[in-house]
Amino acid sequence: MSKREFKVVNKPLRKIDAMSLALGKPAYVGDFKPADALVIKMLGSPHAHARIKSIDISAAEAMPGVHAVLYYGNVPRIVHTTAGQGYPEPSPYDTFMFDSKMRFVGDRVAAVAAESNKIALAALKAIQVEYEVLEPVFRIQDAMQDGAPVIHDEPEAKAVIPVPYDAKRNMAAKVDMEIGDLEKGLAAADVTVDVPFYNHYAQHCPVEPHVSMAWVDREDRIIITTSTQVPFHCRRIVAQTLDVPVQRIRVIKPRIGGGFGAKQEIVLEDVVAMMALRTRRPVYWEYTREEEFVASRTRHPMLMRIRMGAKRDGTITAIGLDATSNTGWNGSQGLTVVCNSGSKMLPLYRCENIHFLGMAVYTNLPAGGAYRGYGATQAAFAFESAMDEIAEKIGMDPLQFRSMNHIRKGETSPVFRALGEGREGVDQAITSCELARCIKAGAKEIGWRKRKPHTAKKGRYRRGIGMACLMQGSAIPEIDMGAASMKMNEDGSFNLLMGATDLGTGSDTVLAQIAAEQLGTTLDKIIVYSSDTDMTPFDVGAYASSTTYLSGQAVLNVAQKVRKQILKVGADMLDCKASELGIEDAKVIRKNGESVTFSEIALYSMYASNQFQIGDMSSKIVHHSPPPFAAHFADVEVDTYTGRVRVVKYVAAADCGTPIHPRLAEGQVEGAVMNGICYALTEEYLFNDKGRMTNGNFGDYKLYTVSDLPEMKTILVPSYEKTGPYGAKSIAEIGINGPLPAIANAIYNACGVRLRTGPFTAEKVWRSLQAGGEIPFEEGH
Amino acid sequence: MMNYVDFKTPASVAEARALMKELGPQASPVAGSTLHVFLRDESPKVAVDISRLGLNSIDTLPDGYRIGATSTVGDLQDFHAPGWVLDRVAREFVTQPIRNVATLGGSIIRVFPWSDLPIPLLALDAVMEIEGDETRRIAAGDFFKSQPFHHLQSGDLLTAIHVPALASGQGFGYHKERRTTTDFSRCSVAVWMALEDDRVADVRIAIGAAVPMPCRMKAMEQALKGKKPTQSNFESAVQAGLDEGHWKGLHGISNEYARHLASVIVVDMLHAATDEAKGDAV
Repeated sequence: MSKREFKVVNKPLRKIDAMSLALGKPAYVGDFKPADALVIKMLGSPHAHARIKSIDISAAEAMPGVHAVLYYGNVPRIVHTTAGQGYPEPSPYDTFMFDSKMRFVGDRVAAVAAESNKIALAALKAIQVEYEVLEPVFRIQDAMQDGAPVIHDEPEAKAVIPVPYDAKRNMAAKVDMEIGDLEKGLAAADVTVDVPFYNHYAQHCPVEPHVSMAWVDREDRIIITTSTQVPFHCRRIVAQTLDVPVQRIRVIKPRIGGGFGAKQEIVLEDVVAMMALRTRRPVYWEYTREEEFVASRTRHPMLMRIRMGAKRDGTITAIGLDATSNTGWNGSQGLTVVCNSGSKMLPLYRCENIHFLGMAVYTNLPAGGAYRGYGATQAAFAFESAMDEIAEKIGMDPLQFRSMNHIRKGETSPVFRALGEGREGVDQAITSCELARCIKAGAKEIGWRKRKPHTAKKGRYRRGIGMACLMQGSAIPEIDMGAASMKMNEDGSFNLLMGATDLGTGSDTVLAQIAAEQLGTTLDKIIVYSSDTDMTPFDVGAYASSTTYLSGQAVLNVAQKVRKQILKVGADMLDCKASELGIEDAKVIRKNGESVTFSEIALYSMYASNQFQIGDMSSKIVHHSPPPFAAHFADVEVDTYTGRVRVVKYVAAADCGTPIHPRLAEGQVEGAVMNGICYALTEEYLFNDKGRMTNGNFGDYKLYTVSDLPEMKTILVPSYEKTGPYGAKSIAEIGINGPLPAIANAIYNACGVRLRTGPFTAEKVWRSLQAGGEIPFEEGH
Repeated sequence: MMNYVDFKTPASVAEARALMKELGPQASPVAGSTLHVFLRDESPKVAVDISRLGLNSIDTLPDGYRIGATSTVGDLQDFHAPGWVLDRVAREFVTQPIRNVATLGGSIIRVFPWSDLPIPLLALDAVMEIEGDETRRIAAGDFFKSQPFHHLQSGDLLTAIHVPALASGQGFGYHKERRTTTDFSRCSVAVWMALEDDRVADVRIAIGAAVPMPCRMKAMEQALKGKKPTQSNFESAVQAGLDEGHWKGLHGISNEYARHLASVIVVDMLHAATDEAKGDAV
């Protein structure tokens, strides 16, 4: 496939669902709640670590309006993972629908299904529980000590793929990889750094929290309508957890009110399915915001140690990255997130001596999971901060240092082969990279040439400019699969059925654009349906920045097959060879000017001759994961009296190949950058000494709103990724990785303060200023 | 959230008072209802709607303004008149949709550590007008000494707030430190100052959020009187008076930092008030 002029692709067309969403038409799970649905409420553990000595649900069960109470004593005990990943999952099996052991404040004790919220909440109060309180452990370093409380002491806990797993030592995952010789590389360096970093807790904060409902149909099948990024994984894991056949379950995904990775997890669906079976009534469960913070999933907090060496000429001789995540009470996505900390950042700069050690450690705090950036966010903070530190030590401009070392088109990195997602990776050369142009364009926009060192700045308010370079991936090669099917209708329209999951990104529109471009028709002729496990073909779902690249190729493939069928029927109608025909404006056109419309072709194939419905299905697995690249720049102002940091301007220049829908691609970057700025400056989990989150609401846990936006500039620097659909790569995740390091570097450039733990609160900056530039490092939350 | 079982719509202040007297503790006056989001009283309440009693006008008096208690924060923002300063405060009050419904009375009758509006009213030495069996007036300093609703007997209604207009030679400064526009205050400071012959003739400094209840910093005020409005005098006065505050950090900030933050902001607001008093305000 080569570059050419596009008619539908690369155009900012109106989203196919824009009008219905703007008009507030029913679209989300909550919009379809049956009037007679029972409400589910969950009793959460008050203790971070405890064993239930006794539980009495009889009073709750006897209350009028209560239809069922579930707890560990009356449901199957089947160990599984909640991670919505491909089978066999790289995440350990360490979770039960209900258990007698409590592993975090908010852990499932018992669930009630009742006629109303009020009755359900009253029933929760009527459940009598006696706990044996156990010693909890909250910090990574404490959980790794000999003799630390063991969080998963149940015999069933296990890894289901051959990877290191040691629940008795609270180790949920481990990966160790060396290329060359780190120590030799450090010894060969003129300068080295050996510094710690800590990435803090954060939540995805989708506007729509986790919400699911279920009922049992007349064929005794369980119909689950749920806000999920992974309908097919959801079906498989619910079947496993309830010990029912997959064929008995249908999962329907309507519109999703934001996911960002949080909904790549089976959080509610097992319970709603079980409740539907028990009560034979429709049941509905929606998390409160507090539950969303505590009991859904979070970004994995991570302790980092980075060692780096370089020669004075700017050659990087060694990179060592130790990343240890706090995976919380379960090991969901623990291995793969920490793998990504290595695989998504280490190939960015050329280096012959690389060591990566990744671990995931259980604690009695909320569980980590998939979150936009997926480990790369954490690594980018450490890596890109250390790049600035090294650059300063060798006296080189950090932009120049990055420019001379970053990977380029045609190059490869041994890291691609050495590190995959829970297993060895896949060799690949970089087939598109415009990072150099991203750096240049971003630097110009931010005014990098005027940047001065912090030592040249005086006064109370000091401005600083910082940067970070980034890469991510596009789907998981040799693992992820997408599929699409298509059929043509009498009026020349097409049904496009996809397992791909639009979680608010606009991927339904993007994928329809790919189909319309290939078919030679307009966007309005593509009727998209996604996703329903009974109706649409299999797709792993929306994660790993895969939808445009992977599902897009499945759509492109099926559209190519359908196009061939259209040409064949057209040739029959025009009495010529298919090779003499072209397609333009929903017509098959012969070189002599004769033509037939798509509608005529569809009618002919359905009713006139050699009758068949034009349509097909296609699956796609990818063999590459071409990285998108980005250069981010932050211009900040630090109030040195109070420590307050204000982002004055933020520039994100990104290479995502061909942006299929440029405006939606820009929206992905802007949303991700805002997400990252909040993570850098305001978002944090506060816990009391018992492990209870004390700020689980939007009054206290602060996110930016539109009125807080700094000046933002997004620059899409196009490249053409020959392995992607119409040259496209991913764009969804990469943007969130930049703000933490870019702002940290900008703060240093403003006032000489080096921050190694987020968020960069005013108090932290002030204390660092008081301490002369840096406060003692400690693991946070 | 409150547990409302009935909603009454009296036609006059007298009728509202009579209803509240009759219902006793069960009565819950409501206007903008934003306060009720923060209350956790689950006992059955009867909402008495006081938003339609004509208590929402801002009237100009010879020495200032009389603000009806059900005037919204948006009304304070939109009102412009000589010496009027509360528009500056209103602009920092959460977001416009909330400013459109939250009332001045509802925002001061029960005080939270992060409450915004008591701080400028303390600095302005506002006076609260309460309609009871007889009309009473309570100065802000007394009104905010403890939870203000304790000043009300059964059937009493806060009906108006009197604030002075800024005169020539006087200045006002207000700052609310927060992480985002929708954030609760971490430290709020309001300063009212009168200058004569380039010296501080009178000054009132009020602080909130970094302390459990909004309060005046009288030791700082005392230390400033008669002094020239200079950076060093401001800093010395503030440092000398800091021990007067019971500093308490909110939302994860330490008490030590709350104290430091207050010290910086007070100096900043002293400068802002000075600039205005000198006619230099931008």
